[in-house]
Amino acid sequence: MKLNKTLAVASLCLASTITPVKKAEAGLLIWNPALMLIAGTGVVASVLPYIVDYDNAMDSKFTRIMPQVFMICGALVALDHENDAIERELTRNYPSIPSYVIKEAANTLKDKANQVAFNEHGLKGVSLTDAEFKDLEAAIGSESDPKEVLAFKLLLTTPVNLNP
Amino acid sequence: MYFILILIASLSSAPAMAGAGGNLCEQIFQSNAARVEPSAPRAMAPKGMDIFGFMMKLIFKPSALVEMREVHSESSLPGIGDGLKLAFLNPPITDFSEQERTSYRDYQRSMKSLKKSLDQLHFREDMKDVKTRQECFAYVERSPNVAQVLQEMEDTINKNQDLISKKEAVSVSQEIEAKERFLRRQGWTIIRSKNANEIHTQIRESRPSAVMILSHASVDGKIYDDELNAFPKGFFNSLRGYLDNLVIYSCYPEAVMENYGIPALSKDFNYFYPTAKEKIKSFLGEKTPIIALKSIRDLPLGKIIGPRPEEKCFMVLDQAIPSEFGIFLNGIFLDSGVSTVSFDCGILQDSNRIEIFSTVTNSFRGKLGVKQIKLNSERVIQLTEFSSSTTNRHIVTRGLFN
Repeated sequence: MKLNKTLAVASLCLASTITPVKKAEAGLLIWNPALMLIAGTGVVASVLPYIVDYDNAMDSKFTRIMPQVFMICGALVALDHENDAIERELTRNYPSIPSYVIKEAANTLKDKANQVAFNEHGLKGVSLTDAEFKDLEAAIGSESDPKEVLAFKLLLTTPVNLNP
Repeated sequence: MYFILILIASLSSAPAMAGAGGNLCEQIFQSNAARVEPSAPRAMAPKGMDIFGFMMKLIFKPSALVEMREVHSESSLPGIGDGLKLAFLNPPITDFSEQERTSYRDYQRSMKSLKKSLDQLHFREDMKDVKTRQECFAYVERSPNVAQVLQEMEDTINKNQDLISKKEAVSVSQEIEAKERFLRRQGWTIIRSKNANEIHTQIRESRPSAVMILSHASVDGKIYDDELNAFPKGFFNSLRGYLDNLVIYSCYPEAVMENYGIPALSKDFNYFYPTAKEKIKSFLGEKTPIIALKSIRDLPLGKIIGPRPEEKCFMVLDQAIPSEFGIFLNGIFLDSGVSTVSFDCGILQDSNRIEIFSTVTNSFRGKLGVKQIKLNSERVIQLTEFSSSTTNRHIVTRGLFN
């Protein structure tokens, strides 16, 4: 529960305790603020072990803990992003190849992959032709490591064997 | 216990699994191994006070989940006075349409019902005794009903992958929206829906005292604009002298610093980044939750004194380039969508490389047509354009000079 909601609930409770109506009419069995605090602490203390003690939860209290767990998961929106796997792996393995070449290689591979069907194992393999790689090679420039360029070429132009 | 949590979480949010039973066993085996072998690193959920502290912080003071660290410039004096503070909130504004909301609810209902089916099959009780991958495979094999429910879960997740991704984007968008008021109260001017090139231009034009970039980041240290284009390498180098403080609030902060060469720029601006507090690092790892954004409160922003880099050199292209194209000199992003660029002469080296390429996802097709650049009204540098002959996509326009 968000803090502002908690505060709203707390304010309502407080307001109802100081409102000039009979406490029973207000539906409050405990009307003393100090007692309410103690009761509230008791409720939190009794629920908390189910939230914090995962081993307890394992012992068939799983169902009770799940809302809390999912509340936590939902509350934690992180700023991570899974970037394009092909680009990421090519960049990691061939750091001296310029980013625009990596991007074009990845785009070409994906374009080609879109035109190929999955085999019976749910796999598909694509590679670049020598002509396609020639376009990339021309754009690489002399500042890249020649050994890396060679390995890059070998990787991209070697046909994939999906049935080893 | 927590392997079950990981399992359910993975079933609920992970990408497609190849063979529900197989992946299930992989998940459980890894997590269970971490549980039974004391020396094994734990993926998440350490016991005792760590969890308690984490929960308390999450509920009552989420800003305490992370702490802001600083790479302090030696030329910085405290305080920025009335200086402009720009906050670029990059994750895109996203919301469900009515139909998507209904579909997502249906998806949640289906998953709930499948989880209930697993309960009825005593799945959790049975899995308690699984200690090895082999036992897990054996269990899945002899429990065809469980395997079938898991398969249905996998199918449901696969079918709704777009919705699940969109739900994540909507959650991020809502979280950010909830934090906008706080940022305004802290004196930040909020800017949304700008791509990396536009952000670069705006910083250079408005010369703010402080810039905050709240952004998604990937494990390789790239940060992303609102169209999920990665900021190019060398993006911040040409902003030296244009700002005094830079805050990048993202995941994988160490990788981001390395990727954008921040330590080498610390002479020219103070740099701030979030990191999970030591005691709860086992939960968050390198991830940074938006809920902890208030940790940027009271950052010791400063003013850089002393000489700043001066842009006395300039180059003129023979024609303006589209705004999605960036001009790079020796790997440093200079500007985009312009025909004249001024820059710090210190970027020039004995041998130099000019590159012009698209920094956004939808690559330009056809000819860009830039053939030469005039440097400092003195030298003319010829450029060569490279395109893919099969797709007609522009790859790069580049030139070398000494």
